[in-house]
Amino acid sequence: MSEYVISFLLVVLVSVFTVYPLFLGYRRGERGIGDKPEVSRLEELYEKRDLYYSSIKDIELDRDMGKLSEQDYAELMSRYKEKAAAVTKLISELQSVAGDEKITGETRTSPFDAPLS
Amino acid sequence: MSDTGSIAILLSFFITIYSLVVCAFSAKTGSRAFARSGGNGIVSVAFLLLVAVCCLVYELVTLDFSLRYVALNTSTDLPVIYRVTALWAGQAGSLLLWSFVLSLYAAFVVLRSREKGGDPYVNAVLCAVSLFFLFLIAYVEDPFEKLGVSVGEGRGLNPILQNGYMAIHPVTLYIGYVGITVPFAFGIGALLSGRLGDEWIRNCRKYALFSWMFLSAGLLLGARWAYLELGWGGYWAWDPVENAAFMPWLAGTAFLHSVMIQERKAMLKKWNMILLVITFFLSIFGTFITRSGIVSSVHSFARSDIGPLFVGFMVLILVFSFALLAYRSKDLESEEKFDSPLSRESAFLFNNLLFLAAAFSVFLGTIFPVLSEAFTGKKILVGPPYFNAVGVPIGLVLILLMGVGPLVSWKKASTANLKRNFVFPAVVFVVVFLALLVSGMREPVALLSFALCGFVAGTVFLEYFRGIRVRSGRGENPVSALFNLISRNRRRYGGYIVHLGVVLLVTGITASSLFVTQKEVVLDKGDSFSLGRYDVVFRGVRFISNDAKDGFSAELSIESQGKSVATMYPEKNIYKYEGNREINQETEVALRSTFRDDLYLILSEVDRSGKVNIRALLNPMVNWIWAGGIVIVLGAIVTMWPERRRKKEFSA
Repeated sequence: MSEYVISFLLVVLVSVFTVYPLFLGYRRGERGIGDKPEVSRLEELYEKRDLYYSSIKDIELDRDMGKLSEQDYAELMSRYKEKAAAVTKLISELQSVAGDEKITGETRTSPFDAPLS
Repeated sequence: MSDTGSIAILLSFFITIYSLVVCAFSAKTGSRAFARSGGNGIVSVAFLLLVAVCCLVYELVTLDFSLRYVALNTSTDLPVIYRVTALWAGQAGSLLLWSFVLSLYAAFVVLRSREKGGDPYVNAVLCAVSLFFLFLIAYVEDPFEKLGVSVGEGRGLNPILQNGYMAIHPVTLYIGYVGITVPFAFGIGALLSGRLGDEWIRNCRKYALFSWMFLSAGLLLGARWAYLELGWGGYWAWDPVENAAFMPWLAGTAFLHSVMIQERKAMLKKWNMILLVITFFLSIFGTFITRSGIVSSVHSFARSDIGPLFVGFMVLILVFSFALLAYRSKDLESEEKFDSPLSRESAFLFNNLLFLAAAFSVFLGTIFPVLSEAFTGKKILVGPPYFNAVGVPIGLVLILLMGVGPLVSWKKASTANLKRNFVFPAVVFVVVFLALLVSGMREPVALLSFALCGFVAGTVFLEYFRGIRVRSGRGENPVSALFNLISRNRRRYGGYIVHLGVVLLVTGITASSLFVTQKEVVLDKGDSFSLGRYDVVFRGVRFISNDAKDGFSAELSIESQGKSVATMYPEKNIYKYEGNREINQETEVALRSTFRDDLYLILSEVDRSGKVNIRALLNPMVNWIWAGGIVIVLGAIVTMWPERRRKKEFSA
């Protein structure tokens, strides 16, 4: 008997949890697909910029370690700095498009989204 | 609890159908409500499968023999820990574990992406894959199937599965195997949505690395189990089920390297998609090989009707994925070109091709017996000679590339810099080669392998040394410089740690494969023999008996240079219960392990007069393999460790 009760409760609990979002209105400003695409785009651009900075760091380290000639170093640095600058410009433009609403977020890249200390 | 478990599985199946439909709907319409509901469904399934797993474990531990699965895989004499691990001993339990691990991954993806709104395409793909496995356990291989008759005793767990490593090897392997589904979902999700920028590849890489790490650990734990339990003195036999896990590992390794090129240079986008599909396909193929019993193997403990279903699923994966790829082909054009054949990009590409060649050769060797039987009626077995003939040359070139890659820079390497960077590792290569030659080693593969390992070790040392020197030049002390070098360049220097682990692994494999010494002797009490630096004296044999088994244990004193170093007790046992065990006799090897070598003793026979037949092996440097595995895992953890990010404010 108790097993049937447990099973019944399981069915009810899981079903309610699964379908309840269909009956709730989403709060104004809550993030979701198609909502405030500028914010998702901004986070993407920040990650892209961080990747370019990381590449610049690698290039500097390679030059300091003697793996890159000065000419190649100059060429690569110029390329990645250009890309980083372009992305930074896009970030500024998008920030102005994002409007008055101030959204503060942390971008995490760990597999487990470890909180920043 | 079995009814609760059954209901949990059925409910999971239907909720997954629901989630798949609403995720697909939300992807089409942009509806947040449906996306959220689909995500909640995915999280619910993880909860339900947890309930199902707990129910099955409960039934196993309490020995409810009214369930077919419990009756087939446990017995009253089975220790509790192995009643728990019987969860993955059989077909239905393994499939339940697969589904459960996948549901955990899917729930994690949903919860982690929730603040960004989630990706319904990715969620839909995860649901689609889950649906297949849930269908199997709901309708084909039900772990809660009732036996229909009353039995007082179970058939028991195969004695070779009653080992600590078997307690963790399947779970570790499954976390790796199943985890490949997640990067696949991100890739297919990107193809479906058309959002083929950087985000999907970054998500792919993290999950791919995580699952690769567990796949590596799982493979080595399995090798360790085989070494301890199968009693033939080796750890890898190119068994079909071993190959089944090795193939996605090879393709996954190629993918992890190739992804770096796309991240940095926006190149090889199509190639990475193809690699991802191949890696996922191989993981499903591997599951098919293991679960369908299509290729007989010491690992294939069950055969069932799921083979055709798996074939259908694999065909669907390939057709759907490549059709999508063809559809999005134009959006996957590379943004840059290769600047030079002497560049890290070229080295990575060559590395990719070799890994894929290795995966393909293993694939071919694994399915060849099936194909030969299907077409000619005769099963032509493919064993170690084929795999070694193909794998060794590829492996040697891969080790070389592992050393070359870090020495060249992105874009292109100038000849002058190349010459300078190669000097030290090349010197190490030559020194190792000559030293071994002078010591009397003549085996060419071993000479080349050890020397190449020296080359790679030299490369890694040089990278660390130069990096520390650069940082020390900026005022840091060497210890801080080392710490900061790693912590600020985790992907790069964590990767070098992984390479070092591979060096240890390859060194151990080379030594233990090519320089094994063995003897087979018949001993009377008091007799002795020598093997390498050990003298082994047979002291006698005794009869052992417990609830599970009767057997013999030989006492062997081990001496080295006149000193007693150990007493070893190899066993030969006969298990009391028959049943689905193909073997009821089992040898327990006795092992003395050092970093130099392993003394491996097998009690083959005991005759009436008390004489014993002992097979003894001296396996050099086997522990380097396990140590290499630990270093690989540590290196992967360093690579994945979260980096500090500053808080970003988005404001007008």
